[in-house]
Amino acid sequence: MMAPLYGTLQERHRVLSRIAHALRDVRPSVRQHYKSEAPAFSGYAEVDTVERREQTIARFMERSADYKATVLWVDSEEHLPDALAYGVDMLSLQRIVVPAELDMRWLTSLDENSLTLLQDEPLLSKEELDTLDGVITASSVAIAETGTIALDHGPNQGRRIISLLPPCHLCVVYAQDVVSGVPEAIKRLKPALAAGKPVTWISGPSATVDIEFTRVVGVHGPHKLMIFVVGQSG
Amino acid sequence: MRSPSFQSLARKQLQNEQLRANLQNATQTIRTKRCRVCDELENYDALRTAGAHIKDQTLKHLDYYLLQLEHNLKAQGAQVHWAGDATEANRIAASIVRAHKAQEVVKVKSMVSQEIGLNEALAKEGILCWETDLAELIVQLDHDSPSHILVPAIHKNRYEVQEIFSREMKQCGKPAPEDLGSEPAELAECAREHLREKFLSATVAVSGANFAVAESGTLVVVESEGNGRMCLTLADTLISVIGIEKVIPTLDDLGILLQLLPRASTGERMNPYTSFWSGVSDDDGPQEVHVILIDNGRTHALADPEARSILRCIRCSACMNTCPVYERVGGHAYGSVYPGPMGSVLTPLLRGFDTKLDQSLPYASTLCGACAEVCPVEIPLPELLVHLRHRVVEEKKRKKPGLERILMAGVGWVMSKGSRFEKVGSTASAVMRTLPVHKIRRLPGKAHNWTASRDFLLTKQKPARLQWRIRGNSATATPMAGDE
Repeated sequence: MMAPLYGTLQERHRVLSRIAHALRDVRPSVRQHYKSEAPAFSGYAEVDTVERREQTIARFMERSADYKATVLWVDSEEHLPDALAYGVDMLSLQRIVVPAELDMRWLTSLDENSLTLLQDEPLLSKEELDTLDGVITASSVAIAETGTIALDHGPNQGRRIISLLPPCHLCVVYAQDVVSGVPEAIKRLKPALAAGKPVTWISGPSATVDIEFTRVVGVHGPHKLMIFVVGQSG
Repeated sequence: MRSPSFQSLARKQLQNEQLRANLQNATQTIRTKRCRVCDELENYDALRTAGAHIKDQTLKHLDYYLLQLEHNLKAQGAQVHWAGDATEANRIAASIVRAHKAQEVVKVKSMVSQEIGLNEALAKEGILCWETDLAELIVQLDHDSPSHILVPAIHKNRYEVQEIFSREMKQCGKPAPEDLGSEPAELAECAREHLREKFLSATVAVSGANFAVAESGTLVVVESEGNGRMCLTLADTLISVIGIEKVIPTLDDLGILLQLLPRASTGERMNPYTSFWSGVSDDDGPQEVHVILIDNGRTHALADPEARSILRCIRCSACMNTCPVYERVGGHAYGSVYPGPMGSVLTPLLRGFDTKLDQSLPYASTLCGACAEVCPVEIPLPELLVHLRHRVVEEKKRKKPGLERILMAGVGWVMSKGSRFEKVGSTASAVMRTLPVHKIRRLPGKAHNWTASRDFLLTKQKPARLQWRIRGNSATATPMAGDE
């Protein structure tokens, strides 16, 4: 059955005609397909030297911490389970959710006795998610320039609601997924975006300055963000 | 009733000392932050130029990009509707809400939805529309109107907010705690609790979009509090109302603009949350996604090649945070959802130049140019304001001549011939020299506009050109001794 058409075709035609009429002054030869030539404006080239990589990662850690996120360096993936257990402990979490396809090896150090761990499979209801106090996810890419983490909500990051409702978000970022600036991040995310997948950029916990310009952290989104930056072993 | 002009509204707002104090504090704070993060980027000006270029090129091919956007949105499962004006957009939105038998919707802040009066239109259909941005919530609970596009409740201090929450929240949902204090953190927590209930029970949500990418059909919402993420993912049905000028060609173009917007608006390297979506995602978020593309006068702006650049505006509010006039009078003086410099240009272009208010808006400026310096997409606001003043005069010419036109015609006649100008000048000078007074404190009638803030000084000397003629009209004429 066809979806009901709330907007009319006449209206669509009317708006498009108005636009064409408004643009009469633009020479016909110019009104061809315009190819965007936006150059990269990251200011920092992606350079392969170890030193530049280290700088990029350091910048990411510094700038995400600027937003009052807690940022921890983890030497290698071997140490990640202990780091996550530490984080869970520090935040006194008791009920957490993880995406269905999160790497379960990451969770081996968690204390099963003091912690309820739920997987989002089958999908948890809003009400259930509302009772949780934390979530652990992976991430897609991180931006050094702005201290931003990007989730493309793939299977190891989970659907959007699970990193939104719980008050604490523990997020794992691989060092090799840290890029210098926004243009590079867009490039990395293009396949997901082009396929219509939802993407969320997170730069620190939620905040507002609406009352007297005083910054308050943690309005609706998670008010505690903990980022684990995982290096490569060796 | 005489309709107000900006000048008369401004005069009233200037009496409000609380507003002036809040505004000064807010705008100064944000100006400092904006300066710092923009100076940090070596290539900031080049970024601005790139942003302007992207927007200009899009506007030149607006229909092409809108069609591409529509195509890609539909490919991802969104339903796309077009609305020529506010009435049509509201009708479509109300129909969708009614079809889902919802009586309440939650809304993430959207300038365009304010522009079209969506809340009021839905209310007429018996549908309650809950604002979820903290500042919009404050303004809505107080039955007030926003005074700034980014921090709409900046005219309220914490005690006023405390009072509003305590008084109003219980009328429409979870009440504020009995012992609610006035610390901003407490007030934010109170809003969080109150709105959580609404988010979790909402079935229909309304949003706008900061950008709409044509090549992928991606919509983008830039926010700080998390209410955007709540509205975009928790409801079953999502309606996004988007002005046609929000479309941009590619994801790379989006990358440029996402570097400009957070820095120019809140003075941050990046805002806390940016959500990207397109159509429907399986098992994640709304399963019915509607997009309403709205004109509502944007084609008027588009049709004026000299005013077209206002459509570059990405609603960052840097211009109003920098404007010395805005800092003193606030948003309500502009009588429009869009205040400040960009509002003074956009409002009459959208609404027309018929009313006294819209005719006065291009004059709501000293043309100091501070706004153009900070605009992230290099909109030449002072030039646009001067151009619109010209349009206002043209509009007025179509009506009966008023005093101003008669006077200007008279001045034009006098100045059109050198000998005429000289004769009038010498006569005026002679009259002033014979009058027994040196200054007039109050000129009669409308001329008192001049003497309201200064005395009218009578010159007691002969006109300069007469003095020079007496001394000799050769190129080597020198002033008489003692006349340095």
